[in-house]
Amino acid sequence: MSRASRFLDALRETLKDNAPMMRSTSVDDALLVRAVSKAEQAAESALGASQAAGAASAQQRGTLDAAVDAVRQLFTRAREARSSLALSRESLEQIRLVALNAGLEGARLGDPTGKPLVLVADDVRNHVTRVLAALDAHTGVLDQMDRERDKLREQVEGAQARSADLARELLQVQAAQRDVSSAMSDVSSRVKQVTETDPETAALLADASDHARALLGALTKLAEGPRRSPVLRALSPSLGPLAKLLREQYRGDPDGAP
Amino acid sequence: MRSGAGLVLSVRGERRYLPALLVQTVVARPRLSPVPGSPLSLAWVSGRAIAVAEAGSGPHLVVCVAGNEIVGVAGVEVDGAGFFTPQGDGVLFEGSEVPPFDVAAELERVQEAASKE
Repeated sequence: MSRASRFLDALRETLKDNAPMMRSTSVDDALLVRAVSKAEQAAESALGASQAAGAASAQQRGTLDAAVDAVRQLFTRAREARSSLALSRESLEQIRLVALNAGLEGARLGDPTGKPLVLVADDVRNHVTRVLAALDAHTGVLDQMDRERDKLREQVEGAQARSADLARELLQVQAAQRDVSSAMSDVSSRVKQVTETDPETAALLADASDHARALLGALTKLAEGPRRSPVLRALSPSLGPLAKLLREQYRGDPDGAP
Repeated sequence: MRSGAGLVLSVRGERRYLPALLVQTVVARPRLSPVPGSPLSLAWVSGRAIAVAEAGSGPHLVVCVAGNEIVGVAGVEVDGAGFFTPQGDGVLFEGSEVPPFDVAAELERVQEAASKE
């Protein structure tokens, strides 16, 4: 029988009947310390994530504020455009009146003397009428744009309000997570006091415990296989030093000798 | 033979013809100042005050001659100015006969309306 096989048998023998009882208080403490440490780290991560979300929300609020400003700017531009259109309309109405009076003057002069004046006046009035129709169309477009801008403003202001709500909620979440972090830190220090366990040692101990259980499980499965001896022999370069280490560690300890 | 030279106006939605010899000028409807005790208003047109009868809600004021008086007719809209084909007492405009606009009758109408009030 190889050394590895003997080691495995001894290990199995030791753990066989009372494997759950093998969990020593120090291992339980180590697992507890490790779990608390992980919870503490998770709380810190959550706090960091909520702070990042808060920063993103602040950026979003800035973008929405800029959008609201842009919409306001659009309203100002539209007012300016409307004012220019009104001025153009007024000037065109004046030109139409001048053309009417020119036509009247031509009519007073009689035919044929006043005929050219009447014709030119008619032509000018027709052009003015066409341009006024175009201005009406522009005004219609501006009216439509005003309605769309109103909708846009409502939507952007709604998004702004929702963003402010989100920011408030995020602040509450951050405050709650700070409380959680602080509470976890308190729990951690109390666990350390109670268990008198150094966190690094606890982590190593917990890891070693996990690995030992995993190793035992794997070796047990291998040992149940049809070709256990060659397989276990193949493992002897790895298991040999482990067995030696365990022997040295547990020498003289009746409960722990493998 | 009548020449048909003048203006075609819309007065309270109806077209009327006003001969050129009865018209002095057409201006945009100015601000009218009511005169207490009179059915007419006063308007400041080209540097002088003239009596104005309000004929409707159109954008123009036509300064015309009624008898020997200068009087304005406000609230009309001038649709055309020039030579039109004479037709009956009026003219043809855009294929329809347009009857003449009687300034004196308009002034009487305004006075009657004021006396009823």
